This record gives sequence, structure tokens and C-alpha cells, in this order.
Amino acid sequence: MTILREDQFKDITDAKLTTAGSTIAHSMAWFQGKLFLGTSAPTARGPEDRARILCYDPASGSWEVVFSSPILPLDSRMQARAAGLSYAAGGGKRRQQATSDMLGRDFGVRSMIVFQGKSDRHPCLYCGTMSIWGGLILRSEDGQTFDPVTDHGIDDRSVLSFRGLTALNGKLYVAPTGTITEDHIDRNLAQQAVVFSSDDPVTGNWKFASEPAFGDPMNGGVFAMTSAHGFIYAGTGSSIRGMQLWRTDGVGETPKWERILNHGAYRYNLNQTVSQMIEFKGDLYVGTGIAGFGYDKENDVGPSAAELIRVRRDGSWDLIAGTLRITPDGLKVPLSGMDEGFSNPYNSVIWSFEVHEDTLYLGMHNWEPNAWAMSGQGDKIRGGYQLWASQNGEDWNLVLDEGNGKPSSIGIRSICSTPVGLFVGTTNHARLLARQAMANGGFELPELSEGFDVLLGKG
Amino acid sequence: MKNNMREPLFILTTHRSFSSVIGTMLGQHPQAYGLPEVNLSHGETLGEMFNSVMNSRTVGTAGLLRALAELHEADQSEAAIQRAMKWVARHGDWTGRQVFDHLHDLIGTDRMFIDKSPRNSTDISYLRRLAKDFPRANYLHLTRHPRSMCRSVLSLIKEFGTGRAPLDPEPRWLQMHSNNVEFMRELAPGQAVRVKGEALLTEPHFYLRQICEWLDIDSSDDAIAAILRPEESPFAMVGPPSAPYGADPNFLKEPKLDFARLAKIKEESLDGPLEWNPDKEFSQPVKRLALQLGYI
Repeated sequence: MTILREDQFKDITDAKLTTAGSTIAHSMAWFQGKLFLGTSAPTARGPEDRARILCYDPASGSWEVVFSSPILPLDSRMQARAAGLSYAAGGGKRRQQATSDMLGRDFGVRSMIVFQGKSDRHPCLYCGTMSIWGGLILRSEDGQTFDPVTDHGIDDRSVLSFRGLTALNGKLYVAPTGTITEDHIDRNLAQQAVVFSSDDPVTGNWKFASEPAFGDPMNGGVFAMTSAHGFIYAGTGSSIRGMQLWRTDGVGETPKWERILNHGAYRYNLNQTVSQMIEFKGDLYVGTGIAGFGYDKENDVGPSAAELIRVRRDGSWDLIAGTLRITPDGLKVPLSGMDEGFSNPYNSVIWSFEVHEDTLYLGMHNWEPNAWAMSGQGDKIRGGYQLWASQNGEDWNLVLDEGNGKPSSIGIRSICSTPVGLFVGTTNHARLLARQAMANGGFELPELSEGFDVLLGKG
Repeated sequence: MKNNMREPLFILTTHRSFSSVIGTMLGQHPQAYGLPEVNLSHGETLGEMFNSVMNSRTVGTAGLLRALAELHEADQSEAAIQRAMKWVARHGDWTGRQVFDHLHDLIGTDRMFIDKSPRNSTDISYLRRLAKDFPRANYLHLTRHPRSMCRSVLSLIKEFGTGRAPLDPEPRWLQMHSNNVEFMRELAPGQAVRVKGEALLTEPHFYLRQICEWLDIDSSDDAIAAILRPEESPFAMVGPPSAPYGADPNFLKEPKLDFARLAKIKEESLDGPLEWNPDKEFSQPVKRLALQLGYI
């Protein structure tokens, strides 16, 4: 099999189904012969900015909205939480009240997996949502009806979302991701780093699969999970010490966890978070990053760009792309020959991975367009997402660059391998870029396409 | 640069951060030569640089004079130091690069010279001058926890009373390491690497081998064994009255390392009051940078 080329990707987005606020093609799964796409509207200013799940039928080439989050009224507490969403996204002075008195129960779908629990008659589609009431896990048997199988936040309504849905040996694992209260929002780190598991999610039978923070209070939350070579891996974040990587075989009522990486793989807090992971050819590939523009303003960490790390089953690790360093685990030389951010300082986070036809694909978040807009040179805006591919994990090829011609497309948030090809979902920052250009340069940007894109690549 | 010349190694650090010990150790590698603090980056000419540090003769000029005396005559007597002073006077119009090249020729260009002068890091323009003069040099960023570094500075001032370090060493730690970090961003990938002094001295075999691998020099047991004998350096002793030091005076007095004692070095905490200023804790910028360097 060969790596897909740029000219083999086709934009299959149906503009009629996108909304201006729905800027993230956040999660994907192949289910019952169709692609399911979870979308997010991160600023959620009104009912129109609700989470949706779209379904693409490759036979007809058509899209269908199969889920729209129900609209709920906001009481005073939820008003305060909703106000925090737009504040966190746009910066500036926080409003005391949301711009609407109604909002979708969910404003995003952050994670998807096809899984069959004990009570499921067949594999079902499970989806982790983002909600100001506390994230939910939805379940669908048929791809048409999506019902919650958890309470908001499972046991903690300050949990913003559920991410990292992962399965191993008949159990479904998930991590609370992000925090929302009336006076605080963190889109990425939950107040407590824990993992839940269930062998029968439809019954609501969720158990703690890890001790709080894995016994280390510096762990601010589990941001990424996956399964690889017989283990569940969970990656944490910490603005103080940097990320950690833990794993368990999931055996027993209280699974034992083993720490594999510590101190941000000895890049300390510049590897603030494990952003995404995947198994490829028997090894685990770990992406890192600092959310946003590679700088954590609240904790004053960064700026920095992402690294790619490979973990073997025996727990040893290689640096694939990143900063050469001396560590307690030996000298780590980037095997790809690329520095942090794949030698691009604007590649702040590795947002997505997928294995397709024996090739590992990697989607980057690239904030160069934001840097241009903020520098007052927005008329020459450039940058945008990158899609990289490798057949051995060390030699990487740039497949798509500069947002594939749309600089407002700043990241690849989801990738899904299917029998009909490789689907790629993006994030679009057109509105944010326009605000940044106006605020910093006092000028209007040339018209930028809004809304996310979905590409289908096939050889 | 001559084709067969081995590129130099510059140790980027602050004062009182184990650079005398570690610079001297690395200088004992068979393919290297460790210089004392020669202070050759902070001016355009040797004369300008030498004169600017004359007031701190025990530190500022001693290293260069001892290096010249040793390399010219294999002798660090008072008379040899006086002749080295005359050499400096005759070559006052030389650039730092010319002096480095002269030293390198005397050392043998197939060996890597190692400069550990903390003064290099006091201003980023000094570091950029080194990078301009030696664009392919290697840079080892040697760090130490700000609490123990500050305590060590104050202890040395109390002991010797002649140091010119500021009374509050915290801003110096911040400025010098900020310069080092910023400078390293300007270098090619792999040209610089960072190591915690505490870690290196606690497990010297393990970390020295990594440094040798990074420098692409012999990392065999024999090479590491040579590195672990810093006391065999020609500069690992107190010099004559006109040039007594050029490195940490305490190290020069007792250059044979007690590795069992060093193995007990522990990193301290960023949090908590400062012993030298009990009403204060480390400033936020110091904590921020220390976390980035791996100190919690």
C-alpha cells in the first residue's frame, strides 16, 4: 500500500448541513457501513450551536443529520456556565450572562467508538459529548436514535466532556475531560484525573478504573486514552510537571496501573499534555502539546510545539519528533530528524491519528494563521492544518499542508479509516481569525471559508 | 575553520552551578581539553575584555592567564603568569575568536576545547558572538536548582568576600538561564542539549555517557573513567598569586571528587520561603523558568 497523495483527497462536505458556529469535525466512527461524524460548536452562543451527529452514506454520497442535541432552558447557574464558553474562546472580559436563554444540551461530540457491552444485542455507537450541564455518553443501536447512558458527568457535573472512549477485553473505558463550573472553565483538564470503565454501559454501571490522579495530585486530568498491545493507556496533563503516561491490562476489580512516562517525557511542562495516541505496528504512538497557540496563558506555560513519542510494549520509548535531550531513560534523539512540531513551531498539538492501509496518518493543529492575524499581517494569511503520513513510524511525509488551501482550517481534529477510504475532519477558525485581525491590525481579513471540512482520501 | 578541527563545546550555565566540576571533568576526556574560565565572549577585542575583568583578577583574568601559561610553557608559576600577561598585552587587538583559535592550535585541533565561562551567559549578545564565531559549536546547558544555586552564591560571598555577585542572586539565575534558553532556540536542532547538574553528579557514569554520545566522542568505560578524574586536570589546583583561581575556589582546593557524597544530592523545592530572605518566595518568573527546566 502507498501513502495517499494530496490529489487523492476530495472535499465531501455538504455546505447545507454546516452551521456557522459548528466549527469542529470533532469525532468520527465507521458504523453499520456509514461514516458518523460528531460536530462541535465550541462557543455555543445559542440553540443553533448545538451538537449534531451527521451520517455520510458512501453509497449515495449524501449526508444526513441523525442527531441534534435537545434544546434546554438556562437557569442562572447554567447562564453563568454558558457565559464562560464564549469567554474562554474569545478572551477579553467575561460576560456575566450568556447571549441566549436556551442552549443545546450538548454543544459537541468529542469522542466516538463502536462497542458491544453485555446488554447490547450487537455493536453500538457510543459518543462522548460536551455539555455545560456536564458531559454525557450517548448510545445508538441503529445510528438514528442517540440516548444518554450516563448521568451528566457520570458522578460530577463539573465534568465538561468525555473523551478517549476506548475498549479492551469487553470493557469500555472513558475519561472525564475538561471542567466547567459557574466561574471556571478548562476545556481540556478535568478537576480529577480518573478513568471509568464499564462492561455494560447501557445499564449505567460505571466504575472507577483508576485511583484519583493515579496517586499523583499533580495530574490535572486524563486527556487521551487508547488501547495498544494489550493495555489501556491513559495520558495525563500537568502545567507544573508535564504529562504522564499510565497503562493497565484492566484485569481485576481494581486494575493496577503502571507509569510509563513521567515529567513530560523529561521535557517537563513543555509537554504539558498527552493529546492523542494510537497503536501502529505493535507500538504506541503518543502525541503531545499545549492547547491553543502552544501557550497556556492561565498557567504561563510555553510557548512550545508538539512532540511525537513511540512507546514499546516493554515500556521503553523513542523520541520520534521533538527536542533532543538527555534523560534518565537515556539520550533521546528524534528518529525522524525533525524537531518539535515536526520542525514547525506553529504545530502546537498533535490532534489526531489513524492507521489506514498499513500507514500511520497524523493530523496537526497549526496556529500560524492566528499568528499572522495577530501580527497585523492578516492580508497575507498563511498556514493551516497539516496531514502527515508514515509507513514505519520514523520517516514522515507531508500529505496535506496549509489547510489544503484554506488557511482558516487550522487543524485536523478527526481521522477515520474505512473500507471506502480515509475520512479527515477539520476545525475552522475563520471567525476567530477575523476578530484577531480586527483587534490587532484594525483591518478585515479577506473572506475566509467558515465551518469544518470533511475530506475523503482514496487511492 | 580547519577541516579537521573538532568543534568546541561551550557550557551554558550560571555561576555556582557545578560548571567548574563538570567542565573540568569533561575536559579530561581523551578527545577534549577543559579550559578554565577564559572569558572571551563579552567584547570585541582581547584588550577590551581583559581590562573589563581586571578588577576581579581572582576570577576574571586568572583563567585565561593560567590557560596561556600552561599551553605556552606547561608551567603555571608566577613567572609564567607574568609572561602570559605580556602576551595578552601584545595581542590586545585580537578578537576572542583569534584567541580561541590560538588556544585550540596549542591544544591540538583534533581535540575539543571546552569553555565553561559563566560570563558568556550574562548577556545573550555574548552567546550570539560565540555562535557567530563558532557556528557549528556544541552547547551544553547546565542547570542547577535556583534555591541551591542562590545559597551557594551567598555562601561563597561570605567565605571569600571578593566575589562581585549581587547580594540577591535570584535575578542573576533568572537572567542567565533566560539568556541560555532563548539562545538555544536560535540554534540548529541537536546543537544544544540540557542537563541537570544534580542528576549528572548523582549518576555521573550514566549521564556522562549520554553527553559523549551526543558529542560523538568516545563513550567507552575508559573514556568515562578519565572524565571521572578531574583532579588530573592541569588547572585542578590553586594557581599562583597573580592568577589563583579561574574556577570555583573550593573545587580547586579539593578537586578529587567524593562520588559517594555527590550521589546524595537531592533537588530542593521551589516552594517555601527563601532562607536569605524569609519574607519572600521565589518570584513567579523564576518559578516559571525553573518548572520549564524540570525543577518543581
